[in-house]
Amino acid sequence: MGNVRSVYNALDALGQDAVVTADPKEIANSDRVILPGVGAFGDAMDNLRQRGLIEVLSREVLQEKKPFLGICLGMQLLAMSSTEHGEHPGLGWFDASVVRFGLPKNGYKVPHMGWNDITPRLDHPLLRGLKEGQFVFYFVHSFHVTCRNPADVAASCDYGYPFTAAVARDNIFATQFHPEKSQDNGLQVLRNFAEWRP
Amino acid sequence: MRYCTNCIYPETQDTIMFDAQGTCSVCQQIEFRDENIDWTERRKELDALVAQYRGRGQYDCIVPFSGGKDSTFQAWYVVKELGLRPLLVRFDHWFYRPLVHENNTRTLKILGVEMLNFTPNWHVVRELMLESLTRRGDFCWHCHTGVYAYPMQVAIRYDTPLIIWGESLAEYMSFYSYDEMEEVDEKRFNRAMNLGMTADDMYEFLGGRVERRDLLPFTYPDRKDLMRIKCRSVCLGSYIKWDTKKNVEIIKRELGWEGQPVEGIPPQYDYEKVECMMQGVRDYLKFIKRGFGRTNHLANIDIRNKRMSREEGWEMAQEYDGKRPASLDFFLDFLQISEEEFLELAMKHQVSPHEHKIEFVKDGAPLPDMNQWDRTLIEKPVGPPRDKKGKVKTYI
Amino acid sequence: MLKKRIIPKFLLSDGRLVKGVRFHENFREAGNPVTTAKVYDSYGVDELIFLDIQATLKSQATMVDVIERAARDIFMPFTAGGGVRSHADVNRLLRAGADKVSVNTAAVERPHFVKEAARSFGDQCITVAIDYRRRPDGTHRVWTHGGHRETDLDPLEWALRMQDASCGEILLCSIDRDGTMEGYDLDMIAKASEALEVPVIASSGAGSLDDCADALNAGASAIAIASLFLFTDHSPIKVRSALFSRGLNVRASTSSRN
Repeated sequence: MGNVRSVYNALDALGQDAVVTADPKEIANSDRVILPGVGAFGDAMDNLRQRGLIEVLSREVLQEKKPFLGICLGMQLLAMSSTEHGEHPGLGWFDASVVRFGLPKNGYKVPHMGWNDITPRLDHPLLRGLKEGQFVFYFVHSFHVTCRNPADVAASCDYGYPFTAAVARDNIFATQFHPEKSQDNGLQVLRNFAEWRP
Repeated sequence: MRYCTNCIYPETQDTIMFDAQGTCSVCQQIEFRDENIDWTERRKELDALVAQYRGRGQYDCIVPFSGGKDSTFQAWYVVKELGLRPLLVRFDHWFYRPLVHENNTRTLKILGVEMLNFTPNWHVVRELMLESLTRRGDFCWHCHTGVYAYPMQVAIRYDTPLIIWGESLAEYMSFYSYDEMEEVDEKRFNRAMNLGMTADDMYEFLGGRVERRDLLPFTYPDRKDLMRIKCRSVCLGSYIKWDTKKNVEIIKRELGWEGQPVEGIPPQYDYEKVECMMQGVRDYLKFIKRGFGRTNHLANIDIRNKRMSREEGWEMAQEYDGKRPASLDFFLDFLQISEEEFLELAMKHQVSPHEHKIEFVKDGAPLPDMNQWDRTLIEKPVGPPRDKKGKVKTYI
Repeated sequence: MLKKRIIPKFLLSDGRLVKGVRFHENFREAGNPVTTAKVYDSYGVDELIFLDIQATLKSQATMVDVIERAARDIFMPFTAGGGVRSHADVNRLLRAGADKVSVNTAAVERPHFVKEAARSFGDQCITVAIDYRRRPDGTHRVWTHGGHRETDLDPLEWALRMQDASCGEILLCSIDRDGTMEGYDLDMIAKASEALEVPVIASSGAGSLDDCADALNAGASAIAIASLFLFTDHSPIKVRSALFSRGLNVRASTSSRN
């Protein structure tokens, strides 16, 4: 899919050795894991389940503590559940749910599409190397994550109301925005991830 | 037209933005330069940087060099202040004025450095000038791409990874800000130098009138080749506080560097762009398109450095900017176009809201060295076949 | 705050960029698509659109190649389209690295195409391109097949139907104004932006900095620009700094990071 390829290309340009895989063995052998989700929530969960990836991800990320980056749907999947096309359970790594933007009609288009400012809520290693005015990233989504535990929120963004732009806990970081599509600012986040020793 | 409330840049200046008070972004950058940067610390960073390259190969670094005030200062600084052994690389854009050669002879003798000079094919250069003028109202594509791409090619060829350029772009424009260390790389080349047109584009635009290999001198090298030599391409102006007037004093004193009159600017700025015959035409074009010329730019530097009031600067620009340069006759001969064609192209490229008033244009005085400029006319036509009236093709 | 987007729109023919007037007249060479994509990435434009105006099997293969090569060097969002007729076409462009796929004729010919594609590939990734013309009586009609065939669809009604079919955004092109550089169709942009919940990209007619500001002030979420970038000395940095100075919310800073 578009953004899997783009994530790979961005890592390649940064001189990182990356593979695109759905093979549990390769994931187990990797040093760090990126989950760039595409499509609908329910389909993505079904895919993870059918390919036997839920167990390997849980083991490698939650037990082995490998650095993990979720992007867009790859962040939403970490929540308990989503209401996209019906009610679907998620991986449940964060006490959060995924809901559609509920916005007044005037002025707020859905999808939330384009470049928006984020406000870091944590001094997180993945957001370092960016200065004031550089916390601008590309978003494209109609659903967003709502965290029940404010401590999980690494960055927020405002679109009619504040919503979660990034979550973080221990070795896990995930973004609603697309670092692989956010030019230099996004490449900085990916570089930070490649060098991250949580 | 809207002007900066601090300096006299108009809104047509590329890249600038106005804040709520009406101050332009360049004035804000200069304020940042003067108040927020620890230049002693920056100089230490420079020392640490060059220490990694000193004595590593045939040359410690490359200094792209024309012989104008900035690159002469760079060469002097790199040799005398940093103690490096540079290779000067000079891309000859075909319009160096005679005095430049005299200055360079003195500079090279005094500094004891080596220089590589490259001259592109004049036939190719003419095609590029006409195409660039037609598409952008700016004929300098061959110079600005060659000057920034060719030294990078030399860096690869001589395996010399450090390239030291002059002032930061943040000094005059808002492509970059002073709080970042500007890398003179392909991004900067695309962003600020090549008018949005690559050599690959030019090859297609020229429709077979040149070969692809003719355009190699203007082609930015491959990212992988630059990564292989671990290239660093930096601005001296990111590490030392740039002060043109002080730099000129130094090169006049240390290298016997001399200035000379330039079209469209007051005599006291006899150091500004003295190297290029076509400077007057470039500034005239800018005036037609954007409503300001080089005197405006020079006044702004003095205003921002608190050497001149805004009113004095305004009056000076009114007096000197926008005259028809005598060098235009040379330019029209080189490109085999008429003044009407030139003006039509220029007028089509005006940047709103500026509207050029051609009836108010006065003639500028010829330069004293013009009788020494080469006027060799070549029979070979330039540009694509013309229409029945013999006019060059326009795109808009 | 969400920024208004500035989007260069590039048309491909025989693997090269071209630009005409009113879809069919005065085509001019506009350069090499891959290196041009890199240039506009360096300028920090917000997105890119590539449209294959030949829409043949061969040109579609060329398009995929261009997208693949561009995607290796530029890390910003881009939309690809032109002759997209099947899910396989959508899939091929997304796999090559496009983020969104633009659909026009197929959406008109097959009413379920957009809904199904949105279901398979995600709600956001189908952009519906609406090419329209004004008729002498003042009404408007959607045209398909690259501006060759008139339909009986009204562009606004059609846009609403496509929104219901879950398209991610609408790319609104006035054939009458395309390439003329005489200004956007502000009336249509205002009506579409008012009526739709999905973002509207205004296209066709940008000729000056004021035109760009007017289209955004009329409600467009984004402006697409071709001739102004390709044939004049208005770089995207000039456009967005001018929009910023006019008080519009665009992604502008003096840092090269944006």
